[in-house]
Amino acid sequence: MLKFLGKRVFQIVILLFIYVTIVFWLLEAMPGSFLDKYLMNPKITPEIRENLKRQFGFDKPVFTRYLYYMKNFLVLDLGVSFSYFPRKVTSIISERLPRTVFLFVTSTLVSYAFGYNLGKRSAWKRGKIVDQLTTFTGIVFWTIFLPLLAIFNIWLFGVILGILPLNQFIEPNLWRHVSFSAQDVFLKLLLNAFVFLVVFLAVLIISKNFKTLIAKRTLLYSTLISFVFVSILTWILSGRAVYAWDIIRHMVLPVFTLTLYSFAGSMLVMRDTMLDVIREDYITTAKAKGLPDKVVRDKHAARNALLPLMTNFVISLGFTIGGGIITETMFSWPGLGRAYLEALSQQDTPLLIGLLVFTGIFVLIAHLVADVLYAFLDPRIRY
Amino acid sequence: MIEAAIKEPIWKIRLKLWLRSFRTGWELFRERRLAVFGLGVIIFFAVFGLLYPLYPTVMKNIFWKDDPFGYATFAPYDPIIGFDPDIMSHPSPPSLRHPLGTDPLGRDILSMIMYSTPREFVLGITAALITVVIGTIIGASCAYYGGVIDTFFMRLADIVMLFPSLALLMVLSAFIDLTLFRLAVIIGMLSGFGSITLVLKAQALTVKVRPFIEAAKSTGASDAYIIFKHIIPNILPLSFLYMMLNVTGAIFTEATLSFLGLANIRMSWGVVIQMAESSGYLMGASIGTYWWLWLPAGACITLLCSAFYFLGRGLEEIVNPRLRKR
Amino acid sequence: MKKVFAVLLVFVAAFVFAQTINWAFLQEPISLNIWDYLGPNATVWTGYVMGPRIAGLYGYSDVRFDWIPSLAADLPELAQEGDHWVYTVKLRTDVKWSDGTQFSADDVVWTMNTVRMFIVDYGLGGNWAGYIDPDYFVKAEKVDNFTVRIHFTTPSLAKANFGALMMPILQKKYWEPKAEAALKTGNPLQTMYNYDTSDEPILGAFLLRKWEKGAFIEVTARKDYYDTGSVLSLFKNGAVSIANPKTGFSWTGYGEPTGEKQLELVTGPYVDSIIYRMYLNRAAAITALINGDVSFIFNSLGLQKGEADQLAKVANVKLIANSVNGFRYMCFNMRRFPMNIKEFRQAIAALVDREFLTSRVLGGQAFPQYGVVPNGNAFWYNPNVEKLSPGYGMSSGDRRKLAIDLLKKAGFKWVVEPKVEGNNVVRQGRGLIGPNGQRIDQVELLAPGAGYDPMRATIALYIERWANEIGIPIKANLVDFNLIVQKVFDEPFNFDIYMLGWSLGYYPDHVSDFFHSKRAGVGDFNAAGYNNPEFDKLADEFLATADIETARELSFKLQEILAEDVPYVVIFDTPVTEAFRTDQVVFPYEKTLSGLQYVNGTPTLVKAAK
Repeated sequence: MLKFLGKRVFQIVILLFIYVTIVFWLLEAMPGSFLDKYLMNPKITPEIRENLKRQFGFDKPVFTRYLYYMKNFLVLDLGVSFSYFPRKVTSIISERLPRTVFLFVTSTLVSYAFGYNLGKRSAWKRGKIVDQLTTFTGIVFWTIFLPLLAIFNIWLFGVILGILPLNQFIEPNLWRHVSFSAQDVFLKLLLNAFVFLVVFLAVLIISKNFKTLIAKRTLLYSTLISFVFVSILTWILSGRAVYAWDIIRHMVLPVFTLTLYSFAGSMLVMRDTMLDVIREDYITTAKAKGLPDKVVRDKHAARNALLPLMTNFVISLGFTIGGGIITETMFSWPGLGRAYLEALSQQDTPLLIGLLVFTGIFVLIAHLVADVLYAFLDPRIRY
Repeated sequence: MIEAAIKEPIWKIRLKLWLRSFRTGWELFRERRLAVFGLGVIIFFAVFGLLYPLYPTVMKNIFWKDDPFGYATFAPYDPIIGFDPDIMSHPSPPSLRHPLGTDPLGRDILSMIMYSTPREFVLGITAALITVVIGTIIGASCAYYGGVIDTFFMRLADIVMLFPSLALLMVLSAFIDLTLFRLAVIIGMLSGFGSITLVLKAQALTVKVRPFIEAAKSTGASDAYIIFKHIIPNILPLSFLYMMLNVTGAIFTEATLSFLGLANIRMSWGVVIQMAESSGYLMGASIGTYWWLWLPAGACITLLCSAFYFLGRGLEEIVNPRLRKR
Repeated sequence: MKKVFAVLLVFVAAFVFAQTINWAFLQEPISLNIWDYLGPNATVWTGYVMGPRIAGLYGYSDVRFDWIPSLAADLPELAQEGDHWVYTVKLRTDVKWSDGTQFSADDVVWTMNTVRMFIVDYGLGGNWAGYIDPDYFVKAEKVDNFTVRIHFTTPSLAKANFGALMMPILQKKYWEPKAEAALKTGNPLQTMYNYDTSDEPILGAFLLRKWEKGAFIEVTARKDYYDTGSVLSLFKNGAVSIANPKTGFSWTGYGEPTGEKQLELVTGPYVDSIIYRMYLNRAAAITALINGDVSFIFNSLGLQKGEADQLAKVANVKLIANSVNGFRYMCFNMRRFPMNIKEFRQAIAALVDREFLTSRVLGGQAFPQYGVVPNGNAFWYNPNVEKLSPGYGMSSGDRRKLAIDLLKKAGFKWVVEPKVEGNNVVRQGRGLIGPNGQRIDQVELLAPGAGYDPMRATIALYIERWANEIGIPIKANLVDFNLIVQKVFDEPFNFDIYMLGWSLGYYPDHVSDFFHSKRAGVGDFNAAGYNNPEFDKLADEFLATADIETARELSFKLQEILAEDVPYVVIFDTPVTEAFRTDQVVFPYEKTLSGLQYVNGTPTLVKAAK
């Protein structure tokens, strides 16, 4: 296994290099360049444009620029953005990253949890009304054009019902007089969520050692509830609770929209694999043994059907960094996806490469984790 | 030795068997209401799209009989540069002249949608077919052979997945004249080498370790035979599901690109919605007042995509006997 | 409990700070560093926030865009001294920086000379060059604390009055040490761009208070703003007067300040703070306006028709429309055949029925433009230009006949000659043959795609059709904006006809820039390759004159020449429609070239509604 990991990491590194090279040359092939917008300004004469060219490094030939870029890349210096000149690409990414991560990881989690639940239930009750209804609804939502769904939701919940904020990720009036920035709160929220995850996994592993279901459940729920309680208390005591809540409140609508939109994916994959699993002998045996329906469904069938779903999940986590350009645009959530679109339309090559590389690393790692997880969960598969 | 006396020629027997399995398949298919619904919708759209050339002619004869020059000048039912000068203010709500109303530039929405329908079909099916063929073959081969082939294609999949297709497509649209067909081919190839290979390979792996594969190998079956006759048929159900997903994906990708104003496709359902959005009719209460600007196009996307979905699910039962109820 | 208390606090704060107004942006400014803003990173959004922070010796008055003193005390005196021309400017003595320092000649001299140094020695690019042109500006020198002499190689309205004399002045005390430190680094310009300017002393009325990245920018009004209470009066006879009752500064010019007043404005600021909120899509900003979260939306392109329709139905929201200072146009590549033939260009120009396109096809969302100076630029616009345009006022049949006649006059022939009866083309022309006997296969018209600008795309398709009807083989290619730019400017001149647009400044030196033969090099502005010695001579005179009336006459002549020769077919532009909430803000005026966004929303004049 270790040898396998080592090999993969090595491959990842090589892949990254190839990837960056391809991206660089591809972007160079695009017609025009970042400087073109100056052409539209009558005040900027060709001499001035030459000056600007020199500043952005366009006076050197392409290959030289490429080598220069790769040299910097080796030390993880992703260069300076054109459209935010002279801010460094890494600073722009790190500013936008927490916003994207928070929104999309949450959405993916919620969507998959929802899909998993619905999927296993509808597979179990296959053919009945529940099954047909959930499939139908799921697919209808899956095939609705996302911008329309977003607009509709904003209109329904923000304007008509007025219970959720319209957009952006914070309410400026609340934040005007505070000394810290939204970045801080985002990062702390992320940290909180991360710790929560770690605790959750730890408790899961520990609870395996308990014999009875009741004991397991008690341990799980009691730990989780007390953790949540402690977190909330910490937030209130630090005086930042209102602000964290403000951010969370603004997240509800995008997460809700995304979940509606994508739960069908995980639901159907779960349902299909579970249908396959149901045919297996050990399920029949379990039923014959007289185990309660829910136990057979959850403990035996669903767990084994988890495989492709897990793969999917981990892989889509990798893509969260790319973010949803549409979601971020419709909800005024200035994250990485949005930065992407802007950089692309301005041909801000360094920023684009930086974003793509960043996404790339995540996707590659997600893929690796998915493979390892797969081997972990299915003893039949060995590398 | 008992000899079975076969009176009929082999081909006739094969034909009968095939017909019978087809009939059984159809029986099964008919029972799944959603799948039949899907098929119905697809057929409806196919007919709808094929009827397109008739529509302007019919309308011309009803409403433009006494103004042939006006018709020739303005081509009111042309989906790209049509304009109806007899209506004062565009966009206009649905009326007898324009059953689905007109868009902000004065074009007839029904003709825009009809014109796009066959194109959406071509887009979706081409892309999906290419994706699935490539993905299945690669997935199965990787699972079976492992080693260098596996590594190479998996890394290739990584690189392809790393590429946000949006970026690549936008770049390409800048210097290739992207017709829908070319877009379909590119989308098809991009997806074909991408994540679908991972999922199909995972599935193929579970097939590969089953006893009958060992059995086949020990009886001297060739690699190609095993791959094509044993592994691939067992992963076909998942392939089918993904094929339907890919039709949806292709249509969506194009609609998203058009919506963001990134591609230069002259007309498609996505372009209809983009026109509504960029003219500012897609927000707040306008959603209700100007519903004809987005609802028909959006509904078409949803209907056609979900139809392919349901169809896929119906088909998977036939293809995979283990999923049948009986 | 804490949350309730916080909300209460917000309410109290909102009550106390009742004079806060919220405005919507559709994109975030890049940086509030002025070196960056006037350098490589100019965006309109940065400009909206930067504009109220800066001031120059002279500026434009509201509404009429008269050239009036801002930091100067009076109009400059011009005199020749040896081979230099020197503008002597007296400065106001009552201007204070936001940190209390007195504004003086030191600031002016330092700013101008340093910018020149950066441009010449370090290659500072961008909009700075529009202010300081090293070929014209020599140096600035201090006479005493409130007098400066600015040396030019030749007098020029463009380079002096509308150039260096309007550039933003920076505080020497704050910037000199920073500039010296930057010069010692390896990349001085980058260092300058990177300076955090949140503590920079400014001359404007609004200080930066907080910038929450991605969400909002808050600025607060200076309590010690020197111009608070200053009265600007514009008289119908063209005179202008400024009077500051607090400090006693006053100035009148351009005639006697008597008679009827056109406009009188008293400078505030009247609000305590402004919050610029960032929305990433238009629907969000408009919904915010409807909901009352913001009072005004900034947008250099104005509202779309659908958005305007929607807002028209909302109570308390007022819509205003203003002409713009710009136009969208077609440009011929006069280096190529057949675009080099005048009658060919005129024929195509005759076919373009602007009124039809703008009022019918574009549904009244656009208005026709005829000349290279937009008709919204009232002082510089030559009203004769319309009548000189081929086909002006003609019916569609007459236009086509005119086009056919023009082509025939130049010696064009067809394989199948087009025939026009009444308003209809009864026989389509085919196979156009040039006067030299050469067959014309295809003329390519490059236009932006529908995703970028549906109006230009549609118009291009109409022009294609109209031309094809009489046998001119134009093919409209709707492509990416960047591709057009590359083909025209980078390749170079790899085009037949293209369609783009310009956004202009008030002083029309672009007329020279776009058509002077010495600007026809690669990547320069004369993409058409227009080469007319008579035009060149007049254009040089125009740029060199120091008298504004003479300049106006010359500009009129230039416009007329261009209307005849049609290197450009100027077609249309869209008015800028804006909306604001009448129950939250009151603007001092609503009619102004390019709308309220062009004047940054008049932050020192805007009031909160009762």
